[in-house]
Amino acid sequence: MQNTTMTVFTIFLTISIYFISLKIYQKIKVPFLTPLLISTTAIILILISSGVTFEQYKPGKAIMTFLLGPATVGLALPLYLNRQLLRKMLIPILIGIVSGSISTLTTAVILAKLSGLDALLVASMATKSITAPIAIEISRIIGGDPAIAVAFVVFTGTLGSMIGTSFLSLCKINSPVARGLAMGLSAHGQGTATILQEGQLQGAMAGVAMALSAIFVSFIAPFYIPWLL
Amino acid sequence: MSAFRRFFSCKENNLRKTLKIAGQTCLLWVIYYAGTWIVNYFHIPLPGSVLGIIILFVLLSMGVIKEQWLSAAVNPLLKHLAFFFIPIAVELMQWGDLFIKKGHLLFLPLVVSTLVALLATGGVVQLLTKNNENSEE
Repeated sequence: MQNTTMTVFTIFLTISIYFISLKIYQKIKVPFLTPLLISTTAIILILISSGVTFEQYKPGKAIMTFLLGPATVGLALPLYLNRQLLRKMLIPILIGIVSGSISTLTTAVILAKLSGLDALLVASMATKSITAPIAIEISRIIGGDPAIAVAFVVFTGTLGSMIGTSFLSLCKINSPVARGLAMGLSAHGQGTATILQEGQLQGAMAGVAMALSAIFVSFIAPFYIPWLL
Repeated sequence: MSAFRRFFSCKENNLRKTLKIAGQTCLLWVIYYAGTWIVNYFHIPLPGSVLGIIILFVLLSMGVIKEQWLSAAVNPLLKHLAFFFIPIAVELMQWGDLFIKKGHLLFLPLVVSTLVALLATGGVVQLLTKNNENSEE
């Protein structure tokens, strides 16, 4: 009974904090204070200060993430809606995604190794440019930690959405298609939301890059990352 | 009386909408489950959800599944996708020490690889599409 009460409490806490942080985010509009960052920090602080351990939070976690799988499958829908665009520029899109994914993954893993980080952190860093639901799954397969992987994904997404567009302009990358793909590939969902402000084409391209790079890295990661490690 | 009726018809619409979203979510769940099952059964090192995305994309392209059958569920699920990562990220409370000790070492790889991603993708695509535009002219 004690456990059930705790589970109900943690679920209620998580849902209410999420909606409060969503309201805060919409009000203050500071790009790096995302609902995920605000909520996670608030919940960790509340749990620690009220003496709740992660073990007690875990049963609620299983219930709350139940819909994550179906939601991830739903990523096929925006990809399908952009199929005309995808078909029209298939070759540049695919080459861009393959070169972008491999270069970012390789730099992250090699620099992490050179910095002397342990294998768990290096493996969790490999998926940092992949959209979170798929990064979690890949990190499980390659021996990373899903929670750390999410932290790196969020950090990368936030960084990319803050400096990405100015960095692209600095490098004289002005083509809308190139800018959209670059933002979606490097900063996934957060990058997509940012570049959408430049136009529908950029936003659509970012969505395409986010989904395709996640699929591409899923295929190569189990072989390529152990080889790099 | 009319307010009463309006209340009920509104209720009915909400009920219908809820059922629609629930039904569509079930369809997504079946595809996700199929993806996970295939991956586990054949020992394919691929996330079940990724195979699910591929299956759904193929079914949509073949016209087996219509876009309208899913959009009522997909839109709110993707809109609130970030919610699902909160319970996962809360696990970071177990890794506090690690981040305090190693945190500063994480910056360089994360920042550099993000810039590399932007430059490699953007540069390559701009180069390729420019050539295309030139050859079409």
